[in-house]
Amino acid sequence: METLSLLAHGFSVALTPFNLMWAAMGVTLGTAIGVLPGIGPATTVALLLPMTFGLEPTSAFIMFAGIYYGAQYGGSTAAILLNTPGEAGAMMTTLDGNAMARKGRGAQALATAAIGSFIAGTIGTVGLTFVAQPMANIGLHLGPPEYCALMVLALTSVSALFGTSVTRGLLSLFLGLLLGSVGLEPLSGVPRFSFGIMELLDGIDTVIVAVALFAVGETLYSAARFRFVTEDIYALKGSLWMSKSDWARSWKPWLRGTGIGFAIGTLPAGGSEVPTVLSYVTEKKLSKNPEEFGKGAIEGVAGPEAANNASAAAALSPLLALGLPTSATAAIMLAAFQQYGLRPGPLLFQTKPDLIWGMIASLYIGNALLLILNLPLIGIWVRLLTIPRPWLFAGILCFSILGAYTLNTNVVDLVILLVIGLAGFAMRLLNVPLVPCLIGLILGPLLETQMRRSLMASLGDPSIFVTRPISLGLLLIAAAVILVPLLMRARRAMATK
Amino acid sequence: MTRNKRARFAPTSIQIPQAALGAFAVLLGVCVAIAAWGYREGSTYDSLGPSLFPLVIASGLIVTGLVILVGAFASDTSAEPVEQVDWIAVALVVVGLVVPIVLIVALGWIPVITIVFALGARAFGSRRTAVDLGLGLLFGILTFAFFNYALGLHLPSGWIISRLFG
Repeated sequence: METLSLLAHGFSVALTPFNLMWAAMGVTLGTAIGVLPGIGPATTVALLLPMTFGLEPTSAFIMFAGIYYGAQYGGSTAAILLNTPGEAGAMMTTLDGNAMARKGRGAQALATAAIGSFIAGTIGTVGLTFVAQPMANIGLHLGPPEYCALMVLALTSVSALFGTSVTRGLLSLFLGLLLGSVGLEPLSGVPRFSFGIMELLDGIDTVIVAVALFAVGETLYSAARFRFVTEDIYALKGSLWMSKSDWARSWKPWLRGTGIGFAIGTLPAGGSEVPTVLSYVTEKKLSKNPEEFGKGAIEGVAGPEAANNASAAAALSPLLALGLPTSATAAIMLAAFQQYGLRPGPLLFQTKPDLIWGMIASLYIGNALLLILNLPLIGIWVRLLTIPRPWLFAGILCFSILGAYTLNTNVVDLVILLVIGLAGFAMRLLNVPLVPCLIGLILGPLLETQMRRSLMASLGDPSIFVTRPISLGLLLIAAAVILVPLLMRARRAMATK
Repeated sequence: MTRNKRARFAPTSIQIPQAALGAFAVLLGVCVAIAAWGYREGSTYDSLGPSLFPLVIASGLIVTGLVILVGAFASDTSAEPVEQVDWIAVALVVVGLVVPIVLIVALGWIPVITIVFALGARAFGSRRTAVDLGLGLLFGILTFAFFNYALGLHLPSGWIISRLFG
């Protein structure tokens, strides 16, 4: 019951006209930027971060909650109508969503995505409300070795589950960890990898890396490929409403997707790719006509979209309660907290209840606003997809520079933007996933601190990580996450020989 | 016939981009390890201190790099071939990123962003440079006004302008 009174307090914070305005602005901007092709939720949040610099933290995070959910909604619009998934989580939506759009049923695909996202988002937020506090309580009892093992698990699962190959995921992770260790070492203050440059002593900012990898990297990649690709956009036509059979075919996938998304998203290991794939496969298995999948089955949109949104909501519990981001978007949210000098984790629930519960309450509000915003106004968002590509990407380029420069107003950040943007471009070309790099960057310093603290406690004896049962268990799971796919591939290779 | 041909060319079918990626990772790992070795100091109980974590990173880079390198020679098919690249367009965007580094302090936000916008649009095939410059100028003025007057941040107005008007 304590949770409910805290939530009620949160609503009293979020429902003041001033904060309500920021929530509305957040969902609107989130949807508007998230709709743009090539910009996923993570990039949206990173690009919009500077907008909140002048605000006090509670209002800023209320706006962020809106941007976070708005970006998820916007992303599915581009996935369905343009066949461009902004991030891994939207990949499954493109399969049947775009097929529906090609058949002239784009409006229904968007509707089932929007309503499914609303239901999943709301149920997911309810789940978050009740899971976050207990999770934070558990977090209070974890010692440095357990935290360390938990982070290793989060990092390895993110690396192994994103992209096509475990090795490339791990390479990306180590690059991120390396970027994260630039600057003053957290415990002893030794400067590392800073080449005598003053601005590097503070470390490399996560937001700049996110904007560079995703927005600049994507702009470079799109420029490189622009002459060779053509894109088709499918106009909305006919009835914009879902028919009775659409509803009948959608509601079960919504609920199943929500369940799958929430269950996996809450784990401090998730990522948005796994639940959407699982939901898609489940729907295909349960369907009476599995042959329709890939050719415009509405279940194939309803399930994964619900799963995606539920896992986005659920991913906020490890983020808020343990300080562990499990998706790129969550990593940038963590960076946003750090910008305000706040550290998500068990203690934040005690020191800043206003902020935490105000933010959770505004997730409910944002979700309701999004449904209102999306169903009748979808025509406006669709028009954003038709912005001429030269202006769209020129705008993204300018926004990236704006975001990087306003952070600290120094030119070194623009150099970092260029260098890491080029690295992001190279990684795109060479099929190295970007997400592990970003999460490695932000978790690296935290992991190192916990690792060193553990070793100090054990007087330098590394066996501390494997003699404590929880830590050992987590490390074994982490090892399995890496080894199982490798072994399976080796077995398959043996079988084909 | 075709099979014969492929067999003959097999030794040269090394995937160069893959090999380069693997070699880069190994090289980077070695550099990191050398740098990290210099960070051993302090009197903490963990004798390696600030160099421990970088050494872990270095070994990670070297191992993953070697796996990718070996894969390139064994023509590992897990990596799709690198797609065609329009290097001129890429170069235009890169110039767009270099311009603010060089000129933002001197020229200030608005002129710089006008140029960047036009370069970016050009990279994506726009030929209406005057329109692009106009839009860039508009974007520059709007963001300058919003950030400097509404948010209270300081986008630079540039010393040339302040010299002329200040």
